[in-house]
Amino acid sequence: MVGAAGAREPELPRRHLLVAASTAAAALLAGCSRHSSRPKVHKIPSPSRDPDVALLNHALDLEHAAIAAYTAGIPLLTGAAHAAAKHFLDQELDHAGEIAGLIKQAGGKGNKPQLSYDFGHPRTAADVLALLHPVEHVQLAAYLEMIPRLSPGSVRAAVSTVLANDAQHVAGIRATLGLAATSPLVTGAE
Amino acid sequence: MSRAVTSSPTRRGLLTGWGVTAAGTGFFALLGGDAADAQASAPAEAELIAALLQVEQVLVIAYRQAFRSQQLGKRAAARLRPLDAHARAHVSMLRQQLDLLGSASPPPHTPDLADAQKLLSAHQVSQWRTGLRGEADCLGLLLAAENVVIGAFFKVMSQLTSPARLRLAAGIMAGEAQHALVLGELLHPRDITQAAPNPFVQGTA
Repeated sequence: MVGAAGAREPELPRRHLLVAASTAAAALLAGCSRHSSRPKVHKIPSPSRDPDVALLNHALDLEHAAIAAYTAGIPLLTGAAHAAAKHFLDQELDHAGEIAGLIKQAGGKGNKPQLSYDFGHPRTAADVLALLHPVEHVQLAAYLEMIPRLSPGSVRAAVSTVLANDAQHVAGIRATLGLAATSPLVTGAE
Repeated sequence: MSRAVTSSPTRRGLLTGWGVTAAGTGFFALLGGDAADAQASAPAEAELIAALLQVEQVLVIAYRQAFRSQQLGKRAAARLRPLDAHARAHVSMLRQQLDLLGSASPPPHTPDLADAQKLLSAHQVSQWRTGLRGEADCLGLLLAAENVVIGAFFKVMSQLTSPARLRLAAGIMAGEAQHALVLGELLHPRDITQAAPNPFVQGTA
């Protein structure tokens, strides 16, 4: 899938990484989820909202990081891997918009993206895919950990749809890296 | 761990008696109720797991039929064998959970081919009505069946209460979403937007 995998590419300047991340953040703030199935979180009694807001903000932090990673890495990808990464970035933007919306509905304030993220110095398509794999994997582990702790069932269900899509991203990246199919159960340790 | 929720005898009867005559109605009455209905008569944890077990068993039947049809090419068959094994593993995991719950209810009816056909037909999955003609039909059937399973897990995620079972259900649901991606890639090679079209994977309602 990766046409240029292994080919030496010029190093992406750090300034580009920062600009890319902030561009993605701007896109996030400007947009909203196109496929929302957002539950009515504001109907939850307020004492149970606070823990949910903290958990959801952790998820939002991870989504911001994933958006920055895809945005920074896409210029180094070509062919099918490039197309897949662009599509996955769009979906991560949707996830962030959805989670930010859930936080807002719960009366909370969503965390902002960091000004910069340290992704090292990816030089090749293979480097980028090796970066994206753990970024997605961290998200899976976090969602699996938080889902049982989210109190309203409707929020659990909504977050599980994000988990399921991120699991697809991991499967897509693993296939591109030539790694074996995952286990029957997604655990976040793949 | 599970809540001692008394569900109506009708719901319990529909689920455990899910056979040829009730296929597609009892199961979906349990998994398809709206939120208000679920609050009024929340099904017990064992009933939810039993319903998930049944829908996973339907998926195993769908994979078996696809392989038996001999319509799958070598490449597709090779990619689908692990998915079939995963579905069987999910059945074992869910059955184990039912054993742990020690439900007083009789074990859930194990769906047969006719049950599977009726269940999927209720979701407008038409491949079996017309027969599996070619690889695309098989892949379409399996993708539709996977989406029915994902939809069942999506609904149950808001009703389960045990943290361990919630984690298990979320892990299986995510695994089924990966299966859907593989099937989507086989149906739409080199078009990731078709293979993974939805940022929020919730299957078929």
